Amino acid sequence: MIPFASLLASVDPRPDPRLSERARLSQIDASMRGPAVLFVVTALAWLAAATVLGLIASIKLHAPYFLSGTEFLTYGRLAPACANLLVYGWGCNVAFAVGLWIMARLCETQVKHLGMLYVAGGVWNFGVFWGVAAIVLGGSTSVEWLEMPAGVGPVLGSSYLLIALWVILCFQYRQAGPVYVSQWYLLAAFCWFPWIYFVGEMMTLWAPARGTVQALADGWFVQNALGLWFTPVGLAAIYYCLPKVLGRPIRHYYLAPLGFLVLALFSPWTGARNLIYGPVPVWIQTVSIAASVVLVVTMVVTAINFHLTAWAGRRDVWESPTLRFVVFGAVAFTLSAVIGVVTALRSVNVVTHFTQFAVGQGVNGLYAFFTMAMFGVIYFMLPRLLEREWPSRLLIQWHFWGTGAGVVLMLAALYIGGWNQGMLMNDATVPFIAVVRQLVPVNELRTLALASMAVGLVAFCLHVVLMLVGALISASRAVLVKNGILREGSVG
Amino acid sequence: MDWDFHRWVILLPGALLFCSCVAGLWWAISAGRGPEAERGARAVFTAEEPEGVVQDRFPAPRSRASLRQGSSN
Amino acid sequence: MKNLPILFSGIFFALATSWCGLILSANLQYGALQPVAVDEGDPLYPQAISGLAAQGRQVYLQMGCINCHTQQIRPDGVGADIARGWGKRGTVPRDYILQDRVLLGSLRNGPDLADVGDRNLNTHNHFLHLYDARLVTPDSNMPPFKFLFRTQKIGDEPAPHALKFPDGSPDMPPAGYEVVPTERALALMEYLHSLKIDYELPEAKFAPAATPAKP
Repeated sequence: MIPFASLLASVDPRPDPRLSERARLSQIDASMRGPAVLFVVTALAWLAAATVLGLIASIKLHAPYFLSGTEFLTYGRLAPACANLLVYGWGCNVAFAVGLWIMARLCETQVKHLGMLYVAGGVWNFGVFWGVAAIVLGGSTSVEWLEMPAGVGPVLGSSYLLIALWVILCFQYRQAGPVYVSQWYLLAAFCWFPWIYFVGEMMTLWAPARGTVQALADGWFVQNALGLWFTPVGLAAIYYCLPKVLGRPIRHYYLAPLGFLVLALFSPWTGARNLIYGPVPVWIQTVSIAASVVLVVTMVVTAINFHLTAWAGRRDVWESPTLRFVVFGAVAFTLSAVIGVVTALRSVNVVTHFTQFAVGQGVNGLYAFFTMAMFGVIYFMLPRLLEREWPSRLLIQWHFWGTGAGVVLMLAALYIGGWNQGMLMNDATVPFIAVVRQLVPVNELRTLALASMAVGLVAFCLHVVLMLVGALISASRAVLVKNGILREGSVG
Repeated sequence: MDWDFHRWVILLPGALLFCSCVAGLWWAISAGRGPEAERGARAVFTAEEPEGVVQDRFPAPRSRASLRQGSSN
Repeated sequence: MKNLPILFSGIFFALATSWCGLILSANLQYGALQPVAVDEGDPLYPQAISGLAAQGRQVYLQMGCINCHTQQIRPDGVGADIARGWGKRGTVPRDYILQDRVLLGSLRNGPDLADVGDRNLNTHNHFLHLYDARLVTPDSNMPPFKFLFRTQKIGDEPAPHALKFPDGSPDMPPAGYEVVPTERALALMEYLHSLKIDYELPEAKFAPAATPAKP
């Protein structure tokens, strides 16, 4: 009995009730410092790699001889490598950092047994490296967002469980009081992801389903990875940072649970959204279209919650690095939700399916919404974890304008160019090569946009490095002072 | 597997589920509004980061004087 | 909602119902489809592909062709898939039941390939297009796949699929040498030639005024 009780005590994430509230919160932040920094740093490294590969791939679309001598850099390998780096390298790592931190703070619990998280993070990143290397070397499975070889699945899955366990533990041992909507979104997201990943891997790679049921399973996975993993994590982050930074509660907050419920109940039914007029039964397509239309409720609810709150404090939004990015993400979410509803309709889908428009939708969701919102949270999170301010105004400006202008340019190019491409492709009198020619300026603009986003990312990575180095120096100075080697206040 | 038979097994309970979800949503909205919800909205604020205080700003531009002295953070 | 077990089961239930509703029921509805003949005595369709074509499918997977090419024809009247000569009818679930990795694709940087084997393409030009697409179609942005070919000394007579380059082309091999497809390129070509929707099914007949297959 005693060993079991002490095991329970060792995982109990509640902070020591004898400490004052102030000390408790900094204890919580301190407990998350190591893992959050690890996940953020690895996430940014993967994002940088994805940006490089994405840039090369984008150049190849309008300059096919660029780096064309080797089979390892063909577009067909770089495109899925970039996508997997974005999803599993950047997206999941930053979701781990942000999800754990916001959950720990809202539940007022601390994360313990950090060794477990470090091991899990290491194994996850090993899996990502192995998977993407395999794609580049020719082992792609050609299943969208599941291109990594089947063996990587269990590696990612098992390390994921160790991380998600803490999100659930935090929720279970949370402080008494009302549950905030971000906690629901995060709890749900961290539960949904392993299930959808397991189903996706199982039905397309380990025990492939027969015929186009595979395509349905893959479509279900991709739509849910966007709608039930990245979307809830992004929304949770916006619901947390926006009122926190502004010091004003979310307007019409009572609608937020409604948005959550509609997302949870209807988003998984949109699985065949990218298979409209494809070789799957018509009734499944219709169900997906209907479910997509219902999601307008979540769009309206989040738009009311986010935009009314941000507008009331718009000057403070502009003056805050966190909120510039977070509100950018919120606006992008509304845009992507509207476009998602409209393009589900058959008459629109006929034009946009298979075109760069669909690529734009992916960028809208994964980058303009999720990534920009995550940038914002990192701006809020790191100063509190490391107890120091961001050192440079200039780097923040370069980051914001570089990524902001870049992604806006990319969306404009892909949406307008993609719509045009679709209209031309549906006109049989236009030879296909003319459609290809039409896309050259679109692809060139995409490369330009990516270059701008790369510049922004470089500024941000530099800034994070400066932060970390500064924190390390302060921490070492504090240790030296404590041990009497340095006098307090001396210039080290 | 006979689809004509099984569609009733799947679609009928599915329709029932859908209706109960709608009913649940209706209840959630009507029960959700009110002072309880406003308390929920304030759950993000803490003693350290309270309501009414803006928590994030651009770093202040460094003046030459402070750079010469050497910052102590 | 504060109770973890209730929340957890609600979260699970929301996902599980959609899996049952979309995927399980799809599997029940058509997962057991078999090849079928339109009239009695006709051969059963779809048909399995040859071993070499199956190896070619592996090359298709390795090269990531799915990232630019689709293998699904939309029904007559939807878009211009059939009007463009990409097929004589829309594809249906039964067309894919014998494929162990279904490669529907989601982007059309290049044309649809579901029926490419039926388009009477000149095999030599097809290899040349694979080698460097711009030798056949000047503005194409398909990557060159020169690494799927090798330069070898000409034997007693030129190899069957040796590439013929236009005069003065920088890709022309030195005298006495020829550029031939490697095993991977041969397998890939066999696979592309196996991609045909040239048969009817009880649930899918050819579109009324389908244009003849054009290159």
